[in-house]
Amino acid sequence: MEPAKLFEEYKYDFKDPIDQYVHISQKGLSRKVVEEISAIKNEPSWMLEYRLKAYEHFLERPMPMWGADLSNINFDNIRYYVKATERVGRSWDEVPEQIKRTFERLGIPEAERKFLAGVGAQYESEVIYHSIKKDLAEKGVIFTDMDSGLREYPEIVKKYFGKVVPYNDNKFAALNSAVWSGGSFIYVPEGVEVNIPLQAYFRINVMNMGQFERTLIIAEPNSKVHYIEGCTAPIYSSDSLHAAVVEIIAKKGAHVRYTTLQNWSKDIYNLVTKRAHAYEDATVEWIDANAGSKVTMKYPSVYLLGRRAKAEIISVAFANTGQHIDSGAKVVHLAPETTSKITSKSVSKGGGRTTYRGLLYVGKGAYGVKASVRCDALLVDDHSRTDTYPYNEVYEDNATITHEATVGKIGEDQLFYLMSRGIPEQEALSLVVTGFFSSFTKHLPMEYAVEFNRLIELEMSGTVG
Amino acid sequence: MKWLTLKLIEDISRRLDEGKEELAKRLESYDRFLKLPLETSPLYVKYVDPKLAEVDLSTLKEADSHIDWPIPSNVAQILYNGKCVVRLSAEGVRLQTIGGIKERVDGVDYSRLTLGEDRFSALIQALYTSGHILIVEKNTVIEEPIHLVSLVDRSLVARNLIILGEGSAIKVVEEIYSPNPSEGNVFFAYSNEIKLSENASLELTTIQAAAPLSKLYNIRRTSLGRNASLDWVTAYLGGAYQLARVEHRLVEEYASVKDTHISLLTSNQVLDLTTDLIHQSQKTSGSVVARLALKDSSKAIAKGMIRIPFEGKQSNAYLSQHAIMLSPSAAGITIPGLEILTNDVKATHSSSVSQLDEDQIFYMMSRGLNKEEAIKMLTLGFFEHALVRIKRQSVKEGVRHMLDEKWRGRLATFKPIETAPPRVEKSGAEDIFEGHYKYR
Repeated sequence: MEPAKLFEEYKYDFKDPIDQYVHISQKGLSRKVVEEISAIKNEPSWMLEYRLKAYEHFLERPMPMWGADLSNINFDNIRYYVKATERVGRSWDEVPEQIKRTFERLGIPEAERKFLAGVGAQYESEVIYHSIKKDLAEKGVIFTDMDSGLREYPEIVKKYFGKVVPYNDNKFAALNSAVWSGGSFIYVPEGVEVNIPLQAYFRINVMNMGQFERTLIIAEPNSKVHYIEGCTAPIYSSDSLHAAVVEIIAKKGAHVRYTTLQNWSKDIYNLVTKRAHAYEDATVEWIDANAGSKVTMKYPSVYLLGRRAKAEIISVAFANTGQHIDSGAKVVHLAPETTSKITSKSVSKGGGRTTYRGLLYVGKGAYGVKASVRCDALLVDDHSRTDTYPYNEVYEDNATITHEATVGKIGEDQLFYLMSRGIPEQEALSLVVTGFFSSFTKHLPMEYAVEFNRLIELEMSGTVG
Repeated sequence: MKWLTLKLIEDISRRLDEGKEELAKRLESYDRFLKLPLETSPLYVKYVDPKLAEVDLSTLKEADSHIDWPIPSNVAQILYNGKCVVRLSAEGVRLQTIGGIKERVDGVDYSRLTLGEDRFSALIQALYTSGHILIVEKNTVIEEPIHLVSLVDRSLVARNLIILGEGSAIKVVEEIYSPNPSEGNVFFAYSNEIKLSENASLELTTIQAAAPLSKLYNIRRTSLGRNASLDWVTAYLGGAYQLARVEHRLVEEYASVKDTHISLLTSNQVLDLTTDLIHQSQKTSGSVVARLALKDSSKAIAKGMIRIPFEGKQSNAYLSQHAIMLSPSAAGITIPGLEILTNDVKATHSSSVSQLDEDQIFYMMSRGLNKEEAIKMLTLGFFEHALVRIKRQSVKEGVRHMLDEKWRGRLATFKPIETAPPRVEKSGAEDIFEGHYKYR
């Protein structure tokens, strides 16, 4: 089939009937908005109660003062619920030149560019793109959006929802718990291995729209799953807030990998709570890359609750002009012989700021723990900034934890070597940076790795001269 | 309670013959002390031992007392509960006590010295009654260490000042003991304010062996001029609670600081250590090393920060915090931080909390040591890495002896021990990064 035709179909497939109920909530948050969201979704009463409790807590909880500057968030200027299929009526001409150029450089197809820029078909808040292979469904794997999950599998959702990240965990988890919408629900039965990565794209493309997706992944004993979210294309929007919650439960012997490529447009506050519980012999891996957003605060965490459970977190950040990426990792060792490894790589450029903030906690009785953290930061120019704030707490004598961090600039000798081989300076710089990130990219599926490297190349442009 | 303290502050100010300005400063500081939280940095709010908050100001009482303390042979000053009992000076050196406006020293205006936005800085500024002042004139070079001894048996607030003129070079041993400790809740809040002028060099060894029940609050502020160098090694041995907040400012280019902290904590001892290294000028070099061993139910919190602003180009900075856990009920927390605002720098840190290596213990035992001896030897060996930073052999040997005594549960008094230097000794002096993987 012709690509154009394919796209037509694709577009058609996801186009809702025009007479379908369309809802955009008013800006601002109130008890009424929370009740309304729950009513539209026709939720069970326990979920409404949960939302309202979370809403109360959100009001009581002060803003966090220890991290990035969040003083510009105006909670009254955000839409807390947007249903799909609302046309914004923006034309291609209104899309900023810079965004258009970026699409071009990333090699995104014309039709998809319009979609991403919020000009084409609109699909908000709720996950619209799911591709479960038939055979997966046959194995009993559930992969659906969170709203459908709640409708169709209420017992499973009720059992696990909010158990890993309770609504009172932090202010933004409370906000998400009150107004969540969309996100993925994944259930992998015992012994089932999902061999292809499950993927979902979340998009913010209504102006001033908040995105509060909620993802829950349950991996039964000895199962295996890899989930990928995000895309490398910048997503255009004006000032907006993204406050997601991701909960993962990896039962005995299960293996869960969660990969994120985050490239929100550079005016979004991205404040995400991601946490996993890992039981005996389970492995949880967070592969987390942040290149977009105005402010990101995100610290994927793993609670190691069973003997020999394992955590690996790779956190990557690229901050350009006007950006502050405050990311990191948390590992809480609460069981014996658990192990963890955290690798953080960050690049700051053009006055951008990256921050690594991490916690390694070893509780009393968690003997035989081995944990290591390594942070490398690269400053491309003399007016960018990087911070490292690692917290290591150990309450057990039979444990070994180490932390190392280093900050540097791009080596003159590296550049000189590459340039002596005939590579122009600009390209050499990009090569050094992509090489710096290679411990991350090697964990990505090929097409994502290619996109990510292209993104770095793009972000690095304009560095020379 | 509050009015009692206000009256106390007025008494102190009158006794020290201070002017209105100084009194106002003290009262304002006291006000800040009452208002400020235990920890002001949002980075560390959760990481401070709450027991440090209880400061019993009612224990600050004047009393006449007498002590017999051996008179040292070289330059020294000994203060007993804030009063000078021994002063031996030398040419080019001015030894004084903070105690009276009449002893004011050129170029130092106490009312303008601000320790910082910190609860305990405010406490010290409100209530200080004594302290050592050591001023070294320019180009004075003294080989033998100068001893500054503080004997503290009851609650006391003091400010200690060391000012080195251009091109001077001295060695100082600062000692803190409690010869006849009074019973009960005693605290000692004291500052070390150090200013080094161009090309000045100071080797400082601090030994804290205060009474086991006391609380110690130490604020350290240093300021280094062009090409000045400070080499400071501290051994924390005594006290129930020790808080130390250190801030090094490398103000002019080529300034260099090496700051080393050693602690062997036993029983319920708590050490709360914060070190800030601020590279305000280019081509400066800073290195902070902490080596902590934790026995019994002791607890150590080591917070360190390297700050390199835009002005600190081509600076080198290193921070290392290593803790050895020797008991299941010990707690070790390390927070090594970096804030780097420019790119042409080398800044790195490493930190670990771990137990002794089983293989090493096994090796020692296979050589005929029993387990306790093997553990002791390995722990004391763990300190060697930091002890090499004490350049003077007799001082190093003296500190070694005190650590050995501490292992046996005793607080010894420092004595320089002359030994022939060993033929082979690893020197940590060359590379401030200590072979960190990045710069190997």
